[in-house]
Amino acid sequence: MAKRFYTGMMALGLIVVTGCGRLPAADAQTEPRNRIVYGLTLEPSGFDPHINASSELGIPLRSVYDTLVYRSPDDKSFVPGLATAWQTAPDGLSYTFTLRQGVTFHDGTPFNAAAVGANLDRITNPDIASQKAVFMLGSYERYEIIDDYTIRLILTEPYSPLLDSLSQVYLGIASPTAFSAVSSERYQFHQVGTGPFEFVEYVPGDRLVIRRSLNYTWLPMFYQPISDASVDEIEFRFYSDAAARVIALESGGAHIMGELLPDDARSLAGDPQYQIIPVTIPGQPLQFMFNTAQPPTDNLLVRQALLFATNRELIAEGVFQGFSPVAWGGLASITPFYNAQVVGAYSYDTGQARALLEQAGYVDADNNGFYDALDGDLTVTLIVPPWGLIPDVAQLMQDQWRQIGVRAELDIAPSRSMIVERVNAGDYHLVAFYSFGNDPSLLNDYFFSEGTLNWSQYRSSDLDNLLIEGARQTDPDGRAAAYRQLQRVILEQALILPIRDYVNLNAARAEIQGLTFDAYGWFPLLHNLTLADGS
Amino acid sequence: MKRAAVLVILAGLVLLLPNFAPYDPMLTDPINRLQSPSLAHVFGTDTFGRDVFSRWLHGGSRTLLSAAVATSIGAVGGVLFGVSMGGRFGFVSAFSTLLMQALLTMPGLVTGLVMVTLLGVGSPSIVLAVGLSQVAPMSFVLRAAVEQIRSADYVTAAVSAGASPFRIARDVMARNIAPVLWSYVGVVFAYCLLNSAALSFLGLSGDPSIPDWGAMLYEGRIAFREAPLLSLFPGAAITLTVLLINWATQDRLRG
Amino acid sequence: MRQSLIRASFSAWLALTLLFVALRVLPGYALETTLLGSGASQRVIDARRASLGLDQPILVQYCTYWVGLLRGDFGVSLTNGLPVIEIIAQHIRPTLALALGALLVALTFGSLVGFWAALDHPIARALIALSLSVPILWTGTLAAYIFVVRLDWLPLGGDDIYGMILPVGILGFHTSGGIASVLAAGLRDANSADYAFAARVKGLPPRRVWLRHLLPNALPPLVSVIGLQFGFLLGGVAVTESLFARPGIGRTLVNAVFNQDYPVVQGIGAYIVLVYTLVTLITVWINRSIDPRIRIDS
Repeated sequence: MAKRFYTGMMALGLIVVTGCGRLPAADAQTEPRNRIVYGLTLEPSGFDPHINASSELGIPLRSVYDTLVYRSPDDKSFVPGLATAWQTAPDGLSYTFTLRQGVTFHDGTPFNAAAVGANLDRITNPDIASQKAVFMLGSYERYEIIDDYTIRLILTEPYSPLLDSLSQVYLGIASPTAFSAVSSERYQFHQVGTGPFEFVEYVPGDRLVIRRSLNYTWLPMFYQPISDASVDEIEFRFYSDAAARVIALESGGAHIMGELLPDDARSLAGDPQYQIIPVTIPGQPLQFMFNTAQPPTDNLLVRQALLFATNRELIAEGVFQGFSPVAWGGLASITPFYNAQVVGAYSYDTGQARALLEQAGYVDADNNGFYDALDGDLTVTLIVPPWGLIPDVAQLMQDQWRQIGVRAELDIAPSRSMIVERVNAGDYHLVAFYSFGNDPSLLNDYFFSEGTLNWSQYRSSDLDNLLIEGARQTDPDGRAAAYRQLQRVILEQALILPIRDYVNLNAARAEIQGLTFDAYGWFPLLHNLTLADGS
Repeated sequence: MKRAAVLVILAGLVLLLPNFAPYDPMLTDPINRLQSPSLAHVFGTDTFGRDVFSRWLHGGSRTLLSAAVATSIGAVGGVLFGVSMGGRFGFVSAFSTLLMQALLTMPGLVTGLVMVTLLGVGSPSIVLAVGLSQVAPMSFVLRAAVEQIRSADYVTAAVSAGASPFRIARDVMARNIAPVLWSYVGVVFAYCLLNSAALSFLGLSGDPSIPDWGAMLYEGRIAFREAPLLSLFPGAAITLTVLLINWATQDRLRG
Repeated sequence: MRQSLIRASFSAWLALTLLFVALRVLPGYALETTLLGSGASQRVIDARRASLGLDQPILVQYCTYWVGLLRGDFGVSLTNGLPVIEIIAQHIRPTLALALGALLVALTFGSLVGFWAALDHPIARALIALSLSVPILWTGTLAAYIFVVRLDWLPLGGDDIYGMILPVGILGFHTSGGIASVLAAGLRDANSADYAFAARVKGLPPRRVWLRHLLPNALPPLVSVIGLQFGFLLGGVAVTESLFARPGIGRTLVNAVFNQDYPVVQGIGAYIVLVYTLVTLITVWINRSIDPRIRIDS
């Protein structure tokens, strides 16, 4: 409390600050070596991968923690991580992992099966209130320690996304000594893993610093060996204002920056001082979900008409400057089990759009350019968050729909909780969203009849069965068949209006080499970063 | 006299400007986005390829109208609280004075921001917030006028002659309050215009497709690197309007 | 002095109470009705109420609010859960740099132009008019266009001294108008007063008349207007920070308004009220100290 008071007094008082120019890094006792600044785009409410859900936290922490398995960035197959081998029981109810020997955490604690078990205990502990990690474990029930380097995970029912979950930073293995020593809220400031980089510090609102660990004795197959030019220390800073990102890059405030605006990326593209690295993110593309419970979008013909009325190529070109491919279905094109047959579905055709609306019985009796509804013009409401250029997309859609006689109103919902509030209020026809991941089971929350995010209000036991089938099937071909059918049904019922695959526009100064990203698209393989001709 | 002329001009602008627009201000054409001024598009095109000139005209009408509505809100509130403070109404007067003094402790833009937080983003919120934030300053100005009334000759005469309260009120309005209102309406209008433009500029105007000078400034700021001219036209329009009003009300300002 | 202190404290108290009503009580009721009407699950409603502290009776909330204010605890942000006081502390540095720099520019430039305008020079008068009537958002954009895009002399932002020139300059210029105008008026008034006439008749050189006799008398209203201009500065900071993408509390406030993040708006609002009250009190105190009439009297 006293600390808060003094902080308040300091802030309240008249501090004479040397505002011009940043203060040099406080930890000046160590040499900078090859040190770079990496720009993050927002500051998540917490940096604990077991607790918090933001993808932003994974950008630094992916390299602080190892996971039991990794996905190869090239073909997305599962490769050994902290587990050198694994076996799935034929009934799909247990997974046995053989763990790597001779690995220690950055604080010296030995890595073994007990450590893995302690991590699982932490994640499943209800007091932690994990927002993502615990849900990724699916039907996991408990573990069994077979010996020091063998652990078995027991499930209540088959859950094929388990390996995918175990390859993500949210289920990274942390040092039990470290997280037992502090409260769950404080652990994010004292994180310890086994990865190529050690966690140094996290100063909220300012920076998060990681430094290369000298004890990394093994390398996942996609990591390059280190050299003199390897980057040793990375400071992550926060740039929530999109306009400030390119400024920071140009002024030298940051060496690498993510999520550049398309216009900014285009203006840097020709400049030899910078490199633009666009990365497509697997998962669900940017899309709008139709509310099938609210007229007029409760009518399939109306939904289909709106799909035909949207010129998606123009939107991809106009808003995203051609950096993003058009999305045609419920999964991004590089997501495993993507059904390529969706391409071209509901291609732009204003004639078809009008025909469908007329088939649904709409007329324009008062000749004002809009079809008539009970109280005025045929109007739909779109819930639009302000990020990701979605308002721009919505404005173009609004104008395109005006051409076919449908009025669109844009309801800007400033935050995720606001979106949920508006959805719960029920007064909407479309709502924008996207999500990320490599396993199509991420569709479950959105399309399950009782899914927490079933914003389309569409309830069908057929759809539910396909989702269940996809998650239970251990045979890849069986899964593929289920998800293929699922993607078809979603489009046949016109539950969504896909817009574009999410592409993260990264930019880096030319002297940065080796910037590649993992299979999830968001997370850089920081181990491979090198700095040409020194800092 | 100058003031009346400016008022007529502004009212005329509000009504007539949109008629000169060569294009539909909402018509998008993303292929031709952010073009520099040309013969086809006198002011160029915006982020969605819409004609900036047409949006400037429609936006002007809308912005001026919003500022007028905000000014009216400020005036009505100012009269209410000014009378409340200046007349001897006991507790009501004391409370009004306290309330208005408290409101003055915050800079105008900050008060506006607080109100928009409460009301949510959108043009109506901005108009209401800006109007309400002008109530406190206006009320103090009017309080002085109201206090004069108590000692005014014509009022004492009317009261002793037994004139009806309505009659007195009407005369008071005409002779004391209306002139004061009239002399300050220009300044208040300028403030309302500037503050509502500022709030739109900060991104609080809701539906971004509706043309409005402040919202165009916001769009111009976002697209500044690609099309720096986008901000200049609405900005120049606001500046000129404010300068025009200041010129018309100049006899009130010290040199 | 003591009377001013009491009055200022009272106004501040009232303003802070207004903030409480506006951003705690009212949204609380609004939230309840919306949530209840939307059929949100009871868990969501309860969580939301608890996060805003609405499950307590109003008086308890009010007391908690004040205890919190005095301890520097303004609650936590609804968007990212960080304590509001930490958010303020993190973002205060760029704002202070901007505000102090702009104030410095305003004082220097304003004094010079004020003197000049007191001599009735038309250019000075034009500068004052420009500073007072032209909106910051336009001069800022214009200056950015000329110096960044066309001439490429300055960057569009950033923490270094080059990036600060534009925002500090623009904000300072617009704050200077009020200062210059009042200084000019004060000097001219003093110029026509008896003691000025007496000084001139005594044969004192003009500069001595201006500096020794006129300036001290023109200062008190000047100091008051500086206090007022500080209020303008606080408002202008929000616009300037948005224009030049500076991560100060002005921008933070705007983002919080957009997100309807009541605790943050309340916290920053309270902070501004307190700072502004403090500055006003300081100007009153300075005035008391330098006003030659008061000194003579005591």
